[in-house]
Amino acid sequence: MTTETINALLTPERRITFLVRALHFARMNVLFVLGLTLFLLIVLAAIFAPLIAPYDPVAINFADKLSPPTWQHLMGANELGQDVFSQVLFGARTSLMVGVVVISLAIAIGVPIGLLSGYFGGRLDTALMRVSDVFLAFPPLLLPIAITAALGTGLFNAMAALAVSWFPWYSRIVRGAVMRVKSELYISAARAMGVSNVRIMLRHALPNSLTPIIVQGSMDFGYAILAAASLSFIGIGAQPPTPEWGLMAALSRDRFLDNWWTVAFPGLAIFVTVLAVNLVGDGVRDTLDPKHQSSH
Amino acid sequence: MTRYVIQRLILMVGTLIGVLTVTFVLTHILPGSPVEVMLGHRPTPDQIAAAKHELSLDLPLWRQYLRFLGEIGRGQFGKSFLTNQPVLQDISQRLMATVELTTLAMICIILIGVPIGVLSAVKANSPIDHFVRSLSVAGVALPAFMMGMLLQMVFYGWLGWLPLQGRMTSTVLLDHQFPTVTGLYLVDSLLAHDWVAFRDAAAHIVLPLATLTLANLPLVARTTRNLMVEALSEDYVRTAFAYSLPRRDVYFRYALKATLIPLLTVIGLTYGYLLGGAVVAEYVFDWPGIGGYVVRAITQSDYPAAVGVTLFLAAAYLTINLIVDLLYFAVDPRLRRA
Repeated sequence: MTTETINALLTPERRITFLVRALHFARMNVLFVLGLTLFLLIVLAAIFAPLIAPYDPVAINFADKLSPPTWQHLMGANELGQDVFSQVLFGARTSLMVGVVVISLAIAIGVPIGLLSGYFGGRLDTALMRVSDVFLAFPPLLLPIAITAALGTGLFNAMAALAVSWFPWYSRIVRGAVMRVKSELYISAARAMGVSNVRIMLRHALPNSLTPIIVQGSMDFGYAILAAASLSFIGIGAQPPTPEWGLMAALSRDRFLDNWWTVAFPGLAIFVTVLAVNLVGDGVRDTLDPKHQSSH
Repeated sequence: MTRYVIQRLILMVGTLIGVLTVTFVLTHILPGSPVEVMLGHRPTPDQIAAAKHELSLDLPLWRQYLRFLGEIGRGQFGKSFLTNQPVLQDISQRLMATVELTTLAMICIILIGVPIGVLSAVKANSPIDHFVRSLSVAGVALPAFMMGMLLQMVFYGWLGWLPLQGRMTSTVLLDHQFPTVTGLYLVDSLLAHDWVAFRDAAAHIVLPLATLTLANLPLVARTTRNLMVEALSEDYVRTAFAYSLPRRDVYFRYALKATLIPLLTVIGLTYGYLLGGAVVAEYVFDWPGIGGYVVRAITQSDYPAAVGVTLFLAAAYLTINLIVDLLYFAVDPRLRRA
């Protein structure tokens, strides 16, 4: 569709410019649009899961035990005769919630630390950064495993553990951004006018670090989903009967060679979701962070 | 440079003490008590008190902490509840299995990932480039355990080409007892000229190795590509082309060299991911390394084992990062003078 045809179809000028721009953006960012579409579909599936799902995801029905995919069970049934399709749908709720909770918690812990560290500098900065470094000294996934084990297994503890082991990245980002703007004239001006430290940090320093936080957060969302699924897979994350994709794979592990659908569909669900989230994350980064253009 | 190394070592000791503290908090302060695990069902109050005394859990927290630091400092990690062996012995028995797996994976990742990244950069925005980039975006979206199970399904379940799990077939291991030299089955069986054992070990390592490699390849390939694209746009590269130096030399001797420092950083990070990934991959493939060991220790509340391996892995990760940072000096002569 060329600009002329759109012009011919829609006369009010503002709408045209918007449409043209949107189309141009979509053409330039095919992957982003694809990712966003997939992501929105997954969000819709999660919201309307109770309406779409043909079965109660936890209802046990031994008559259909290990049924392969059929019209009754689109994705087959597991060892307990639970409908895999319904479980996958409800699993979307779990995974999206995990992503939101883990990233929000990590930001909630990391941002204040980064603000304090970057704004006050000196010994406080050294101390806070050394403490953060300790959390980064563990190989990824090992610390969340250890924390979850200490707190007790369960999805909420797993999410808390992931956030605790992930917050230093946000501290570092905020600290860097705050240190960059700290010496700006307007901050000195605000200070000269007697604006309190807290107010300067929240009103002037924090907004400057928002973009990198959003970029990092959207990149980490998929990681959080993957990591939580891995924790559930090794048995310390979500517990049955919570519908969770990693857990579904773990529960079918003994017999998955003969019943591929019990593992393949939850796996596909994780893959598609994380792929969509990462594509959106890449798009967000390319749009917001001019330094980091992926297409040269 | 010596000063820098000393500074880094001091910092590393500090971080390790921090790691110890976190581990102490996780095992001693948070709920869930080793005593319950040790004594099993319905212990009497006397039994609990005795066990607590034995583990010195009845001391004030700060004294427990000092004791903990002292014991670890002297290399006393205690005995595993599950295997009833000293934790260090458990670790040393399993360590080489993990080393074999992760080192081979690292080699594969570098040997495959870097050339792919260079190719993708040289042919930037061509179909090859798009293909590589799509694959690397897709690759990071698949969790390692899924990748592992998928490979098991295809290569064991459907094709029957490769074994499902383990490090060697037990019958082969019994018939072909090659002497332990390095603890790496592939190397040891080669040294003993035992081809049957070597083939068996090689067949067993393929799938876990592929899992770890595929899971971590995208990051390295992608980083190499982006760094190379930048390096290729430099003036000196254009000059080199203008002098009509052989293309291969320009790519690998001049452009790639400029990317080595950031690339090393990513490779160091990747080693960390490999150690973390090994935890899951060893669990999926029943690989007898320390990754699977730590999962079992943690899920079954085997505190001494969990603490020991966690500390060990953290120390290993820190050491690798230190080595990577020191490699900067080898790569960049300017740093040596500073």
